[in-house]
Amino acid sequence: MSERVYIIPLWLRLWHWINALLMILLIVSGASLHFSDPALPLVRFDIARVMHNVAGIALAFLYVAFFVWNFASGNWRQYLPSPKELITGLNEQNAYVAVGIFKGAPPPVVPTPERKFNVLQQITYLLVMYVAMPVLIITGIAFFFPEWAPARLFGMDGLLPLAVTHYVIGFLLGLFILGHIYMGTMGTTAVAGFKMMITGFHEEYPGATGESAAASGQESET
Amino acid sequence: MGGRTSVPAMMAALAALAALVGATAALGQATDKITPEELARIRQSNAQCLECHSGTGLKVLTRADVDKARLAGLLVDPDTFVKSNHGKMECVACHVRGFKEFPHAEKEKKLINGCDECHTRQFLVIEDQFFKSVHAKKAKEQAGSFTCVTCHDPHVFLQVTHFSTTRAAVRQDNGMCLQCHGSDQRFAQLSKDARPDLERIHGWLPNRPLHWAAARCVECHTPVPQKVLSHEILPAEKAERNCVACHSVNSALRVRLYRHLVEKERETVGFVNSVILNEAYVIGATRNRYLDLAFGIATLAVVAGLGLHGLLRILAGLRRRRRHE
Repeated sequence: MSERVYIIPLWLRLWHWINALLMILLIVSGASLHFSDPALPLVRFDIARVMHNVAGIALAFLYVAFFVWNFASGNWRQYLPSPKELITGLNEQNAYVAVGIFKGAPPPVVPTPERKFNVLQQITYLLVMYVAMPVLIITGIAFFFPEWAPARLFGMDGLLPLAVTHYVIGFLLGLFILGHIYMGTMGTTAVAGFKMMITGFHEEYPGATGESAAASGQESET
Repeated sequence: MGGRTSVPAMMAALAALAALVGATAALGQATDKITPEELARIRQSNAQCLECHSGTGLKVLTRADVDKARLAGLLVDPDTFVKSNHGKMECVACHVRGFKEFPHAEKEKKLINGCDECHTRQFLVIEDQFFKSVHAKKAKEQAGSFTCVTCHDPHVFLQVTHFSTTRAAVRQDNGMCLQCHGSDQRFAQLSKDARPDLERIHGWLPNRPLHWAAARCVECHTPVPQKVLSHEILPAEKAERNCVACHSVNSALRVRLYRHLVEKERETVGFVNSVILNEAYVIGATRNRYLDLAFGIATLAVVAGLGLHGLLRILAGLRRRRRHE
């Protein structure tokens, strides 16, 4: 028997998947623009430009919607790591990734409606959603108004700092996505995280990992 | 006939070659090797012309025998002229006959040298290109109306290589096009067609003001596959629309607008096409090799790390299962 707990509301799931789709479009089009090669275009330059602009604007609007909704619903508190648990939580999570998972140990933190994320997730998502994304979006929007950039900076075109920042953050977020997808396989089962993001329910399979994941999850809550 | 060449033909060819060498040498002498004394003489000679043919000259001119209204259309800005390509040339080097004395000679007794008198070598290439251009076709409609000076004002024109910034060069060169393409009156003098609305027909071009400030009209309106800039000006329907012609590492800008700077290029902290980046950030053309390499390695490391972790998890899982069995 499995226990199903409703954790991710519909608006959050919709935001997550639209966001994921837009990020993929932005990475593909962004790479096509940055690594443009007449002989080997990933997406043709002019098409990639439109793709990047449209997806970028959509992502910016979606981010604002997320930001507002996140505060209105109180979901923002999920991103704040408890100072008391910061070190122990990180140690637990690192030990699980480095050792525990290979021994079939249950995850130290199992998602519950009150606490969806472990400390590692909280820190990462906090940086991604409240530092990287705003910088990415602001530098992206600035590119729509290149004439506002200083004509020259450090002896080079004034757009350069914007461009490099946008590129670096974009690339780091691309790497985050790779890690994020992989981390999705590290729940109570390899697919529990993906199922949760689709249905909203977290399914716990007691005994699936050799120990009671649900019981362990409850322990970590207490 | 066949492979044999007659003596008169050979003589004619040699004479033409001698004239070409002579003209080219004269051009070189006129601009490069000029002594301070010779320059002072030229300035003095030109000052005589500028006594009337300049804005200041016209203002203070008291001679009653000068048609001031006509003169107002024949002025040269001395500062601009001095800085121009021909700034070290004597006015009468081109205005050869009928201009030394005043009143100047009658129309038929006056002679202004054509550009090909000095630019003979360039003409061998330019003429062919020009005859293929949209301008030559328009000039045919109104014979003789289109010459070098229609675009290149010899009292103003300065080569791209002599500008302190590329954008200033772009301003000058695009200004040449806009003399007619930005004025209904001047356009009508050369073409029977209505002047196209430049903003409308360039509506497809992203960041149009930025493109127009950073690149010349001729970057797209000349055949890009020929690489080096040509005088074959292309009409809208034949102009380059492939963004990656410029927006790529092997940007056409390297052999066109930035041609004179590329030789001096030293890759600055890994930036590709750093000479372009000094003036303009061009997506796809001005990226940083080190940054790209660092992210390439980071991506490989992340993929390899995650792959290895996943593989070890699978192996550990199989081992556990075997133990339980």
